[in-house]
Amino acid sequence: MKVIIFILLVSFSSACFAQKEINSASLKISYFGEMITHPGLKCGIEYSLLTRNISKETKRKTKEKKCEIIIGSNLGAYTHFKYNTGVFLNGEIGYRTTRSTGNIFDFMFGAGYLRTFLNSETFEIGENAEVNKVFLAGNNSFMPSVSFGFGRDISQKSEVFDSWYLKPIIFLQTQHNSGILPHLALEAGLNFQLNK
Amino acid sequence: MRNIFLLLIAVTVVFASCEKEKTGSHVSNHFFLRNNNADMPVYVEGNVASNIFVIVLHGGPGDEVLVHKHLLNDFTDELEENYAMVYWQQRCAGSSQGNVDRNEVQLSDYVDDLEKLLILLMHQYGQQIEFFLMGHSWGGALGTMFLLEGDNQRDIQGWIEICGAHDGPLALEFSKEKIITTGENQIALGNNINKWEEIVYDAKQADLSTLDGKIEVYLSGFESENLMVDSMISVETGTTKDYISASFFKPFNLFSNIIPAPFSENFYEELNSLSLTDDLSEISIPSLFLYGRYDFLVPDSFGYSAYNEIGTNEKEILILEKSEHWPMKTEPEKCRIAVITFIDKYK
Repeated sequence: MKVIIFILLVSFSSACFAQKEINSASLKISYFGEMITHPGLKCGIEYSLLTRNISKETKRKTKEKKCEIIIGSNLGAYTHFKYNTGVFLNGEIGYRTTRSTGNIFDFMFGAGYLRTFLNSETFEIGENAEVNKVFLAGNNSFMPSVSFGFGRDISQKSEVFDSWYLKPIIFLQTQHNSGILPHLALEAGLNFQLNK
Repeated sequence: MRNIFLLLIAVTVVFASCEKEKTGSHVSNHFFLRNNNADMPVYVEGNVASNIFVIVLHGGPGDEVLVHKHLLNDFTDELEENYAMVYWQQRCAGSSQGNVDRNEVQLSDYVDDLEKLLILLMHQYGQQIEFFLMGHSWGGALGTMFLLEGDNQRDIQGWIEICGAHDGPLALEFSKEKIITTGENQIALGNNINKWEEIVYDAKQADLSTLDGKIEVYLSGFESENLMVDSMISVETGTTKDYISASFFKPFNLFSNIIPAPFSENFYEELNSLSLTDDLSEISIPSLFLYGRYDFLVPDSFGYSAYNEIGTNEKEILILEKSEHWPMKTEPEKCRIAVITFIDKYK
C-alpha cells in the first residue's frame, strides 16, 4: 500500500510540475494494445526536465540533435477479452533524442499502479455453501515498465500535433498469482504541445 | 483531432469484438470462481441441455486449461456437441489470477477449489446436472485426490484419467523400467545403438531416492520419447507457435504458460511424494483409463497398475498405440470415441 501511495504521489507531482512549466510540457494520447491486440487507451503529460542541443560538424553538413530528459505521468486502460480490464496510473522518466531529420528515439522507465477487474461475473462460496457474487472483483498490482519508442517530428507539417510515435513496452504485473506476470504492449500515439 | 479520436475508438471496438459468444444449442459461458485468494476462470462450453458436465482437470500443475479448448479441439469439439465441457483454470496457473502466497499453496487447496467449483456449477445450472471428471497428467492426481476426499464420489458419475500421475514415486519406477526395457529392445533391433546404450546406462544408474536420480529418469524419458518418434503419430497442432498465435486473441497471457508457476519447495516435495495407489481401492465409481504406449513419463504399465488397483468393476482401459503423453493430440478420434462411449454408458 505504501508503494502504491508513493507511485500516486510521484505521478501527480510530475503532472503538477509540467503544469507549472507549461511551455515545456506536452500532452499525448495513444492506442495502448496489451499484447498489441487487447485494446486500450492511454493519455499522459510529459515535461522536458533537461534539454540540450548538440550539433556535429561533418564534411558535408552540420548534424543537429536535441537530447532531453523527460518525465511524465500517464493514465491508461486496456481490456483483455474474458480475462481482465486493467486501469493504470504511472510515472515515467527517460531519455529522448530528436534528430534534425525528424526522427525521434526514446527509452523510458516507469513505475505505476495497476488495478485489474475480472472480465466476468465472479462468485465466492461461503462457509455454508452459499454462493455470493463478488462486486468489482479484481486485483491490485505494482507495475514497473520499460519502453523503447520511435517517432517522427511533425510539428512543421501539423498545426496541432508535435509528433507521432510507436512504442513497444514491457511491463510487469506483481504480484500476480504466486509470482510476477510480464506483459507485452504496443503504444501508438500522438504528442501535442500545450502552448501550441 | 476529432477524427483521431474516432479512429482510436473504432480500433478499440474492432479488437474488443474479436471473439463472439456462440449461439444456438452451443452455450458459451464464462465466469470466475474466487477461492482462498485465487480468481479462477471457468469456461462452460457446449451442450448444457445434456445436463452432463465434463470437468477438465488440466496438467502441470501450472498448465493452461484453454490449450484443451483451443489447441486440442480435434478432441474437444465433438465432446462439446454432446456435453457441457467445463474448462476450469486451476489456481496459480495459466489464465487464473489473484494474489496467492506461494509458501501457503498446498495440494489440498486444489481439492477445495474443485469442491467449490461443483457447488458453483450446481448453483448456475441446477441440482439435476451430472458430473464426469476428466484429468490429464497432474489432473489425474488432482481428480484422484478429490475422489478420495470425504463423500465426493457421491457427486461424480464417472472418472476419466488420461496419462494421470496419481502416484509420483511409482510412476517414476515404471518410467525407469520402461526406458530400460525399450532401450534394450531397440539395441537388440540395431536401432540407434549408441544413444540407447547411453540412455539405458543412465537410467540403470539413477537412484530414485535422490532428486538427481528422479531428474535423470525424467530426462531419459524425454530422450527415449524423441528416439521413438517414428513409432508415434506426429501432429502439428498444439505447438508453441500455435500457443503464441492464440495469445494474441484468446483470454490468456503469453507468458503465463511459458514462465512456470513459482511454488515453494514444500509444495514440490508434497507433489513429488504423492502416492495414492494404495488408496485406489476406495474409488468405486466407473473409471476409464487412457494411456499412451510411448509415454515414458507416465507409462502405460502405470496405467495398467491403476486399472488393476481401482475399487470398481465398472472400469475400462485403452492404450493409445501411437501416442506419448498427449494422446488427445496424437490420436484425438480414438480418445474421443472412448470418452463418449464411456460417458454414454454411465450417465
